[in-house]
Amino acid sequence: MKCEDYQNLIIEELYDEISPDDRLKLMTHMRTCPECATKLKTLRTTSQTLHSWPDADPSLNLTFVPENRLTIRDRLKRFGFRQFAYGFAGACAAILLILAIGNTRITYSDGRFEFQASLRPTGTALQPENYLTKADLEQFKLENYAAISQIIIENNESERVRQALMMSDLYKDFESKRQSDLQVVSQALRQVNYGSEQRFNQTDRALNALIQYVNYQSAIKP
Amino acid sequence: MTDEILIDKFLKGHTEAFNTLVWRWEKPLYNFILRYLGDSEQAKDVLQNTFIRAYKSLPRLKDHSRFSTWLYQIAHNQCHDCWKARRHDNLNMADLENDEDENQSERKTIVDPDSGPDKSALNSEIAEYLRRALLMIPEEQRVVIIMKEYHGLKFIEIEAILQIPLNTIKSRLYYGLSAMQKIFRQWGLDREDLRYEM
Repeated sequence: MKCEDYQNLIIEELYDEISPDDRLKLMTHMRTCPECATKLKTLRTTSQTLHSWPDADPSLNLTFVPENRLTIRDRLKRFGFRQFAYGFAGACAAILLILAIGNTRITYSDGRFEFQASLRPTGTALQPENYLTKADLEQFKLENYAAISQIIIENNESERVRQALMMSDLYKDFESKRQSDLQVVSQALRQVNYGSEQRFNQTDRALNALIQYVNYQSAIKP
Repeated sequence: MTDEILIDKFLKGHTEAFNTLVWRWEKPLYNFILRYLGDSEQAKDVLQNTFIRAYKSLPRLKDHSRFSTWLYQIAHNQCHDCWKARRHDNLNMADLENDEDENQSERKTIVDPDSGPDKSALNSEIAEYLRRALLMIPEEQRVVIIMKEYHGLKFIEIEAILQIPLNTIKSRLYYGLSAMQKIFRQWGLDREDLRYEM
């Protein structure tokens, strides 16, 4: 075997991961090959030198938070420009598609189909004669003014009616309340009268009996 | 609590369990990435990406006992992508190789431990040279050296992470260490008395 064939065994020996058989083989070789023995020694020295680099502390303070505990601010931070651009482009494309589909016209005449696509309503395209003039705007303004005035008048009228009805209801409530109160008072007065009359009659009867008694006594005595 | 229990908890909806895994693995992974890329700021970014990817993909990990291997795989892939992107920036290797001449001129100050009054300053300087030396060897050799030397991974563990044959790993280690040895010799970092000081 050549020295190159012992390279892996030297490495195994260096890290103490060599089998007893292979160790014996390597030792036997190194007894007759000072180069391989020197190589093992120098590699060991190199390995020791490498250990002069101590471990460093990352001090990263990395903490994972469950998705549902992220604040709105965190979510906004995560929502980068690229996502925004994709979202915006997608929304625009969707709107254009909806407009195109919504304003597509398919007609059939003379044995053939006609397909017309547009981003704005095809039937109501602005024609030169349909352009608004200043007079149109004035007319529109006056019409609007009249309509709004009418609405205000109607609103005022209906408000008055509503208030009158409300007052009428209120009056009815008060009247019924007054009537019931009057009934209660008259009933109470009747009871008071009845009681007074009873007591008056009793007193009258007692006085008559006393007079009769006095008369009787005076008649008996000489 | 083992990684597997923490993973089970995480999959049941306890995000805190994943934070415990982060806390447990951030230092070894950070040092792996730092030695791979040689830049602490980039290492922090890559570490963060590694954990984010792990957080998203953990539900798809079938064998939970392979968590550490899987995590190293993610970190390695992230580092590889980052290294590839950086190579195109044309800033790294050429500059580092130019630094070699500069290192030669500074050789005296490195090799003489008695000349420096501050030992920690000397150590950080040596660490800086080790960082540069690691960046000078090929990426595939560097990664196996880091895994073996700094993380003490077994050959079969490295095989599982890198998905390459055992003999290839040993061969890369052999040539990687030989290259490092050559660089150390050039820079005067191979002296016995210097290692004593370190």
